[in-house]
Amino acid sequence: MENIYINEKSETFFIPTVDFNAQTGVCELVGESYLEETYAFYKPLFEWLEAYKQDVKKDLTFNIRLTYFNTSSSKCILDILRILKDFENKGGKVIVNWYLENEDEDMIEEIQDFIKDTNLSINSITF
Amino acid sequence: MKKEFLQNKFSLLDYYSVMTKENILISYKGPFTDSVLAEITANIRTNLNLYPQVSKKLFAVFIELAQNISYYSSERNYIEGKEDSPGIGTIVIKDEGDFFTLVTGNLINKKNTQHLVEKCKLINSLSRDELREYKRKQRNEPSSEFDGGNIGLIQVALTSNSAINLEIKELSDEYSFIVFAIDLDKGGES
Repeated sequence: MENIYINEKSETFFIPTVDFNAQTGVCELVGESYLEETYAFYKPLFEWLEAYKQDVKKDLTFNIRLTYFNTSSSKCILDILRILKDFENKGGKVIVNWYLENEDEDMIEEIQDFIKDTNLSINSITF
Repeated sequence: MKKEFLQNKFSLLDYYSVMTKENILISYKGPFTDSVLAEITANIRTNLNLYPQVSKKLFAVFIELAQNISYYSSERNYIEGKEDSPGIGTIVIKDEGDFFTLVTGNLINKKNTQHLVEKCKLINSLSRDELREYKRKQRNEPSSEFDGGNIGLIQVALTSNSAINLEIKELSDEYSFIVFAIDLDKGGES
C-alpha cells in the first residue's frame, strides 16, 4: 500500500502536514487546517484509511498535532475518527494521540466532544 | 480629474482620523480572496502577539466569519469566464481597551436575513454546554445537508464566549447589509 505524504502549506490557505505510513502503521496530521476545499483535501485520506482497514489491518497509531482547524475541517476530522472507530469495532487495534498546547481549553473541549461523538478513546498529551 | 476628486465628499484625512480615534487595528474592504485572508490572519498574529490567547481566538473567529463572506456575500466582482469569484465584504478589528471587537459586513439577499436572525437569537440563548451539544448535532448532519455557515456561527459563539451581535440594514427591495460584531475579552492578558 502506498504511503501518503503532504507537506504543510502556509503561503495562502493552510493545509496540514499529512504523513500516513502503511509500513509502520503510524499516521500523523500536523499544523493547521483551514483550507478552502476541505472535503476535496480530506477525501483521499478517508479512502486511504478505508483501504488500510480492509487490506492492511495492522495496529494503527494516529497522532494529531493540529493547533488550529476550522469548522469544516472539524467535520472531516470527525469522519476520520469514525473510520478509526469502525476499524476498532472490526477487531483492529487503534491508538489515537492528540497533542495539544498547554492550557488550550478550547482544544480540550474539542477533544471531549470528539470522544462523545465517536466513543473512541483519545489520549490527550500536553506539550 | 484632480478637481473632481477634491470636491468629492470622501476625505482621506477624515477616514484616517476616524481610524485612529476609534483604535482600529485592521480594516479591509474588498473581495475575500485566499491571499487576502492569509494576509489578514498573518497580521492578526503579528500585531496582537502581546495577547497570545486572545489573538488565537480572534484568528479563529475571523476565519469563520471571513469564510462566510467569501462563500455567501451577495456582492461579487464578476470577471468574465470566472463564476466562482469570492464574495466582497468588509472587516474591522478595534481595540476597545479591555476587549477587541471584530466587525464584519457584507451584502446579503433579503430572503436570507430572517434565517440568520433566528439562528443568532437561538445561539445567543444557549448556554456553553447547550452550544457544544448543538454544534455536535450540526456536525453529525450528513455532508449533503451540512450547512457550513451554520456551524461556523456556533463556533464563533463558542470561541468568543460572548454573544453574536447582528445588525441588518435594508438597502433595497432585494438586498440588505448584514453586520456581525463579536467582542473578545482580553481576560487580563497584556
